[in-house]
Amino acid sequence: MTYFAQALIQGLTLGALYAQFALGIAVIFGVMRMMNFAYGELIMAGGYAFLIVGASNPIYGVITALVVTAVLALILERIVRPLRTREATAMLVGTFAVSYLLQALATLIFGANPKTGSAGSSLLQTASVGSLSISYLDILTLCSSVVLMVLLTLLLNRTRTGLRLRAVAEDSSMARILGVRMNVVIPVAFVVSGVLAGVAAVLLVAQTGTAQPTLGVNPLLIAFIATILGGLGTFRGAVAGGMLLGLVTAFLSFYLPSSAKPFTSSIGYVAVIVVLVLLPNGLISSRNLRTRV
Amino acid sequence: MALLEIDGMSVVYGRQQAVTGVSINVGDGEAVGIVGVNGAGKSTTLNAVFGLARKRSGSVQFDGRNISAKTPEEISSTGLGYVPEGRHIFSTLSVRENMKLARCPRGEFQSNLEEMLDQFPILGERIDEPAWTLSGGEQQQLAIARALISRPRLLILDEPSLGLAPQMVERVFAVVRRLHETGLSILLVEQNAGRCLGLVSRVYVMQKGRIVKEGTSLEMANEDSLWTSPKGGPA
Amino acid sequence: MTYSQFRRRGFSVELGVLLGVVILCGLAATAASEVTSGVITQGLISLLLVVSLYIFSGNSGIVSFGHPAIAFAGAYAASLFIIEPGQKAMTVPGLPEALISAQSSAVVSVAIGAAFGAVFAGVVWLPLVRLSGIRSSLASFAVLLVVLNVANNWQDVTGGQTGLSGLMYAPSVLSICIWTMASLVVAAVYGASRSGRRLRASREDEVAAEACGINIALERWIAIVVSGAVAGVAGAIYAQYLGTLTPSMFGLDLDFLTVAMLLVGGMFFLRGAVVGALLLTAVAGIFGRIQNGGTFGFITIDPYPGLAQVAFALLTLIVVLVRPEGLAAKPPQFIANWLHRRREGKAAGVDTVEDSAEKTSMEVHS
Repeated sequence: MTYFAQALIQGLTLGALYAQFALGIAVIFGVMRMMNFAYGELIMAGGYAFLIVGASNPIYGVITALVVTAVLALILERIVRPLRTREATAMLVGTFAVSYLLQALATLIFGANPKTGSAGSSLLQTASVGSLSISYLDILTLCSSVVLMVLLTLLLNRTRTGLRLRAVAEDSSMARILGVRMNVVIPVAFVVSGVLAGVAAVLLVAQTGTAQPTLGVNPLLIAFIATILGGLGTFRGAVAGGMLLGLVTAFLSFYLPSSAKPFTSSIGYVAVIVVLVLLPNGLISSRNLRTRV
Repeated sequence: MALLEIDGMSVVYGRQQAVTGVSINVGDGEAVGIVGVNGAGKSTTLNAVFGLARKRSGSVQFDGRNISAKTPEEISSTGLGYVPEGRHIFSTLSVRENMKLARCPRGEFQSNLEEMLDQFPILGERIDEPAWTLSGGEQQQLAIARALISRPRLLILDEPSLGLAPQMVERVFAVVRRLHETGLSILLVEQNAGRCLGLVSRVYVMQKGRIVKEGTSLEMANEDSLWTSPKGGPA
Repeated sequence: MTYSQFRRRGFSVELGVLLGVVILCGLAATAASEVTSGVITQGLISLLLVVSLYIFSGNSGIVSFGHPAIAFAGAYAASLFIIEPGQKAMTVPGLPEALISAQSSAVVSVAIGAAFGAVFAGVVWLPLVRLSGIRSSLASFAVLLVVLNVANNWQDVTGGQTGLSGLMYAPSVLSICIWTMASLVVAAVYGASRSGRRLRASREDEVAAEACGINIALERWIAIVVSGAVAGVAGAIYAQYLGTLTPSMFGLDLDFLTVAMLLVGGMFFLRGAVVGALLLTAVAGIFGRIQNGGTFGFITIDPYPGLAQVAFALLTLIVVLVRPEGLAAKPPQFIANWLHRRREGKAAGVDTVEDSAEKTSMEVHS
């Protein structure tokens, strides 16, 4: 029973983190139908910022990470703006190139080897509740995830900007006819994505204490699986997909025989293929949402 | 001086010439129709006016200003309202949210909204329901109301009767006629020439991307080509 | 066969020029210094992989991110046959006895790679050919990720992250040239075939193509099988050239490089594959030399790891943004003029029908 509860805690924490990864992809896919392959490199940049600045003062580290990721997201938006009118594949390749470029720049600036630091390491202590143990970082991950999702929900449902974001996600041409300015709404979506990346970066680096140019690759792949499982471009789907993936990953790592564990991620990728081929709206689809791609 | 003046406009889609040298005028307070079979280039013309399709040549003036190179966002604030074909309501948003999206001076939204709800009482009853729950006719009313809330001087309507039951078409046209009587200029695109002639004072006939005839509704009512599918045209 | 019949089967002047370019590269590689020769050889191997990507993506209009997976499969199958049985028994003990003892010549092993690449692509893409556009691209990316994950972890069969080593044959420049030229011919012949033409029709307009009775999924499947065979050759040659085979050789880096090469050159053109692969290899080679540091005449440069990748990515990004149709989409002006003159001169001659056909096909491409 304790074993199950421990797996559940781990699953929820992972799920919360994965949902954050996925939301960062989904919010941009929603407004411009772009699968942002450079999202992982936003996390990577935020990770370096937190590691370097956060060594002396974690709070400054967090702020720097958020600023760096948000600004990078805005720059990325300007770079891909000419691709907006082109087919989805051009955007895919464009962000792929930006991703490769940022990884190469990180190698050029920081070197290919991992950089280590102690930023946020105090969070790795664990608290015990009965026979269960949970680290402060896990608690922080869960809390930050909940806070971010509440904030995002408020933004989407309670503000004019959020209304415009939702409208653009559904039908961008009609939104423009009504006077919604794409050059305002889309940068907002990128900033939201950047902030999500920044928080994810802090949580990741606090966990491992290292940053390297390829730091963002795994989060990107996780976000890739989660958003497709949840149905591309819907916010609720991204959260559900991330949560599901986190829970499944955690339970598999607790219950699979150790020889099968390395293949866990393949299950996710195969699920992606199955969903793309058989379920165009993802695992969780609401009746009024038509195929988005 | 006409309110809307389209002069020699051509549009190219990919490698295909979709609209060639189209010139259309709509005077202040006038109701003008464009008729033609499916694929004649009517909707493309409107999309190009609103900056959604790239114009290859020609100019568009609205209210004395050149709007040829403006984006749809900018055009929407010049006093031009557009209800595109297929209504394009935001199905996941509520009726109120749909209305809220339209550009509207601060502080005027509430009064404008109430005025619209007077004109379209059905929308008032469903104000907080998601728009996909509305029937086709209700959605068409929502689309028109949404375009009107920013108080345009010219309303462009693309096939407002498409896919509606006959009595619903009747209702929608009654609304448009009432709007016109209050002084709103109208540019109406219709496949159904009879309905169109009953509402507008002047008609342009489009065929294969060109204006082939124009005249007052009275003159055009006797025009055979209006009532039969043109030979060789894309039916 | 008359000239026009040749051309209808894909043997155009353009193909001749491209084959000439490969021969020139081969001659240059033989004559040049060891470093330069290495860069040229890598360029030709990249070209093999880019041509295989072109066969599918160029004709179908769907960018595949899964081709390194096919190349890995082909390389794996080919490599198994050119490693000492004793070594195989140690690194991949999970294989059946027959495979452990099996051995073949270099040429046969590459042919095995081609066959396995075709079979692998044909089986794996069976569900994927029904997808279009970005969905298909994302699904093919997932295929690559599955293959990498399995290859990295199925120690007994694939050798895991350290992979296979001790490949007994290193390919000569001559054999690389021959395989590359063969792949270009295959691409041109497929492009001119009935299936290739149908697939390109579906690329222009899927609905219209279907209305004309074209089975798009079937044509895509044929394309991926042909493309898979070439990818298998590319993978096999690549592994033989390096002497080892590890999953990381076919990772996301190679994925980006091949897709970028094809897009920079021009995705819808065979000449695009050649221009993209050779140009970007040259850029990477030049910046790679600067990146490694050293003394160039009077100038001493410190090593800058990552510089070549930065240059490569920047060039790709600029081309995608500024010339989305690719650098080789339109022939350079002087060639265009020459073609024009040639056409005018022949206008009264016998070949007019063919010329107008080529003209339309060029319009379709532009």
